[in-house]
Amino acid sequence: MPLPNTKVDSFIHNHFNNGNGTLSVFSGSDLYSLYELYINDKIKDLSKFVMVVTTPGNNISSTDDDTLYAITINNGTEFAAFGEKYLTDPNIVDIILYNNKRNYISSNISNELNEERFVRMLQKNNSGMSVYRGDRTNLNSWTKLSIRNNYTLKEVNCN
Amino acid sequence: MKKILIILTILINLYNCKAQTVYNFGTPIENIVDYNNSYIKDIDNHHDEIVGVWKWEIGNSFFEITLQEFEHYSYPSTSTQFSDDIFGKYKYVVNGNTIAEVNNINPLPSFNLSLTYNTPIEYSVVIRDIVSGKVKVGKFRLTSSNTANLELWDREGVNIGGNNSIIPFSLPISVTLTKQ
Repeated sequence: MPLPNTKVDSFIHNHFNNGNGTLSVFSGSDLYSLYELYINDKIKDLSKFVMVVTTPGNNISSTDDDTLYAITINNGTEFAAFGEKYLTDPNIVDIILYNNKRNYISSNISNELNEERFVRMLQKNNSGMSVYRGDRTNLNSWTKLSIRNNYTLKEVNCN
Repeated sequence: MKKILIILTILINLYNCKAQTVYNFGTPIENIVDYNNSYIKDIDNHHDEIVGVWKWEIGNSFFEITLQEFEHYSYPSTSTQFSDDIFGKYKYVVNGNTIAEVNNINPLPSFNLSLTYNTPIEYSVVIRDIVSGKVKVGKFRLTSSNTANLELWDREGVNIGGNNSIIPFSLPISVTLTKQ
């Protein structure tokens, strides 16, 4: 997909079940695309930019495991360094960050594990990004996610 | 004074050379507490079953992959997240005609085939088709000591600014390989 002609305020997309499960969090290609928007000066206001993903979960006949997440950039300097290190090629993201033996993120594991590991991956690599879980029934309720030192998930209600 | 300087130098060097924590393949992720200064090592030699040449063949057509272990690997070179990883090369021939051939095994960023340990019988795959430039991900699953299934599919998510080639992916996406 080519870069947009104009600068964007936000970006929402969904994942499909391609017959091999559905990744319930942002993919490596999503993060690569975010960095492409950034380095090509296609983000209108970095401090207000939001990227959203919705996924059907692995059970396509039920909405019970649907997921909704958003990421924002809270530290532009850290994000630029993280991007330069890992986001210049979607293959680097997949091999180094998602297939990482210390933090495996995959469509073959539970939504809960993917959520925890995705947040941990961004936090441990000083990505400069924040992660939010949305209420899948609407877009009005969000919870900010982070990882404590003991690796448990910390949830802060934004409403 | 000279002795003090020597002791200080030794202490500074010891601090800088803080040992990496070594974890075996399969260590539960919650037990890997030293995330950014660690080495995920193939202590049980699972890679011995994988490295080498694997081939699917029918008549004058074949798909051959060669896998090699890169020990204590990290990317980028400044990273202190080390692990034992596998990269490879491949050759695809249909009816005697070479469709795609990679001659050298390179790690990132100029890789063409990567396998990453998930379990003793399953590896995550990322493969770049040198004909179209397109990439697929998938699984390499051992079905016996000398046979494995390779299944490939498109990666998920958006791809803004990435490969926009109209050339189709040229490599086989589902084959049973036999170790040579």
